Amino acid sequence: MPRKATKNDLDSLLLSRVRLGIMSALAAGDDLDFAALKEVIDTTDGNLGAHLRRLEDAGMIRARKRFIGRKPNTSYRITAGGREAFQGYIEDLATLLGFQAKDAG
Amino acid sequence: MTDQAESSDGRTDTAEAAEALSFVRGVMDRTQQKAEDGGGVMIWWGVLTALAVAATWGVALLGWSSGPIMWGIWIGHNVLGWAGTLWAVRRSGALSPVGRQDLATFAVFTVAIWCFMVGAFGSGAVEGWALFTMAQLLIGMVMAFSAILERKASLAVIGLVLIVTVPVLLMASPKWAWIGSSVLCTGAMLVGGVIAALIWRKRRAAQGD
Repeated sequence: MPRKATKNDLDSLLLSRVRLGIMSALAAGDDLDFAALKEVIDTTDGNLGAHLRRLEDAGMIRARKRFIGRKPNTSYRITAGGREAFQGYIEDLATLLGFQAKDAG
Repeated sequence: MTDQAESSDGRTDTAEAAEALSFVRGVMDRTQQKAEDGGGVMIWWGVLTALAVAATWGVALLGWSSGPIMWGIWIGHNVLGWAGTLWAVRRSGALSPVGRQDLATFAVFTVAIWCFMVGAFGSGAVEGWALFTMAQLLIGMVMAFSAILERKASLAVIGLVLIVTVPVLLMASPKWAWIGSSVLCTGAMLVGGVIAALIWRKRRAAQGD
């Protein structure tokens, strides 16, 4: 059962570029299916599937399985906790850069 | 893509932070562009509008222009238009919050035009010959204002052309208002669709896709 995402969970999870890409795409794209994510992230099916599962297990994204016509389709959305943690991560990066720029100036 | 950037101690220095932010921005931009591919949808609406206008003219020339036939043509136009729009959205597998807002705006705008047409037609407040010109004004306003907000100059120009030609057509004869507005509304949607599709292709080419 997915548990609530925490800041530390995301910080460690987002050290992977694929997972960072997935979270970025879902933060921008709201609702993306596997094929769309694969196109945006540019990775293999197996790699993408494994990283999606890990983010889903951490409760940062939510999967929705359905059929479009006769074809199975899985789409993904970022959870509220995942979005909050992702925004915190981005703010931390920006803050780090801001402090460094101020120090350098 | 691999996980080469995974750091062993979990710390991010300035260069890594800058690179990570740049990567996040790039992915978000690509996602937005994918989700906002509206060119095909606009062309679809343009083609349907052209067919509906042609059908309206055809039945009028043949003397079959009864209310139910006219409403049937335009209700069919809307049903097919929305069916194609929803199919395109589902097929693309992506819809950004911005794209969702655009679609919601388009839906509200379509309903507003329908309410106006029904009200104007039913009450007789607007002469029949001026209905297309009134619709042209609404389409022009929506195109111009939304394009200005999204900083799409070419689409804003099309919207402004639709707006400024309204008084000219209303002052001209009813025949010219009917013909001019039909042609302008259909042309604007087709040209707008082509421009949107070209912008999207240019962005894709720039990304090397």
